[in-house]
Amino acid sequence: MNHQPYEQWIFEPDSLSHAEQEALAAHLATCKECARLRQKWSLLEEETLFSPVMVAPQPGFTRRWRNSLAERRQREQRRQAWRFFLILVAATTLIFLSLAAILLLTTSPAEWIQAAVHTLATTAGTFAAARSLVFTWLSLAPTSLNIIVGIALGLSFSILVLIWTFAIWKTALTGVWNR
Amino acid sequence: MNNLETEWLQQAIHGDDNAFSLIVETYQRPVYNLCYRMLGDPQEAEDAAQETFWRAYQALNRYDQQRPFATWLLSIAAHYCIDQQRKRRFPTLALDLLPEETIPDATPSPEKVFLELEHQGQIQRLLARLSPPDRAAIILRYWYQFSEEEIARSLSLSISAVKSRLFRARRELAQAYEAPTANALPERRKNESPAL
Repeated sequence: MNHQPYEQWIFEPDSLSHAEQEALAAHLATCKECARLRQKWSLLEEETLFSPVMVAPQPGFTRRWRNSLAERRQREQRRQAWRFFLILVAATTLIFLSLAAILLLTTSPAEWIQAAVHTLATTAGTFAAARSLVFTWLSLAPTSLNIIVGIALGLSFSILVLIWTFAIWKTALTGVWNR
Repeated sequence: MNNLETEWLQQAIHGDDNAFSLIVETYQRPVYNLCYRMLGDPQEAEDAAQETFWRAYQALNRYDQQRPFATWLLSIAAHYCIDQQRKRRFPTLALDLLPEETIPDATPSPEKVFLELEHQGQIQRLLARLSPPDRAAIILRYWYQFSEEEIARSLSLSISAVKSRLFRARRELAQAYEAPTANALPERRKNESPAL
């Protein structure tokens, strides 16, 4: 026997029109299966669903929440830092691999070796020129000026390192402390 | 949500952890109840409820204040529990660990305790028969009196999907339901203590 739409109507008696209610009653009078389903559903609603019991957690739930907050934050911070680090490594690797692929496609190994030797030779020459320039400056300039320039350079370098470290730290924690 | 709770929420959004603790205090019971009904185990429900508050805490700046806070919070809990159930695949039911708060009477008789535990166990067994999304729909409908629209929004479903899930779940529950009978209590032998 086809139980639709009566089966559906059994569970939504309040939304039925008068005609639908009569049709349902007529079906229930002849269909034992639907009549049993309706009886069980009414009992279930009365016994349980119309007066559902709300269970509560063990006392101290909020205290446990507060205690776990610091630990959760720390865990999330570590995870975020790792995620940032992995993204950084992956991005760097990808850039190097892309560059290597481009080089492989556009140049030959002989050209790489030639370029590498040329770069080394140029670097050594540049380093020697810079060294002689510094020594000339040190011999010509007064000692007090050398000290001031040295301190200024040292400070500038330290500030740059600090800014860089702060930027990395800040970026790594984005998302954890975004509130 | 009353004015005080709105104020706590504003303070929490601006980083006040104490205000968020007050929100936890206020909503712990509905969140825990949903997790317990979904997972059927008090310890897992505790963990899930704590995780729900942590997720809400992290996502507070994304909370749409036009939406009721309780609906948003319960939606997080429902999604988390559905995920947990999918990972676990087999629902568990720790009948011996039913939360004590299910018994409203402070000094109930042992028979009453037994019957209440049996009744709660039966509810959990019935709920455990349903798929996690169907179970969530039934719990939100009957324990929280959510409308079909609210259930749809909470579970990220269409209204017609909610209707069909509710119908399927109701039919499953009705077919599986066995009305409690007078034989629910084990028969007491002659001269045996009434304390079971």
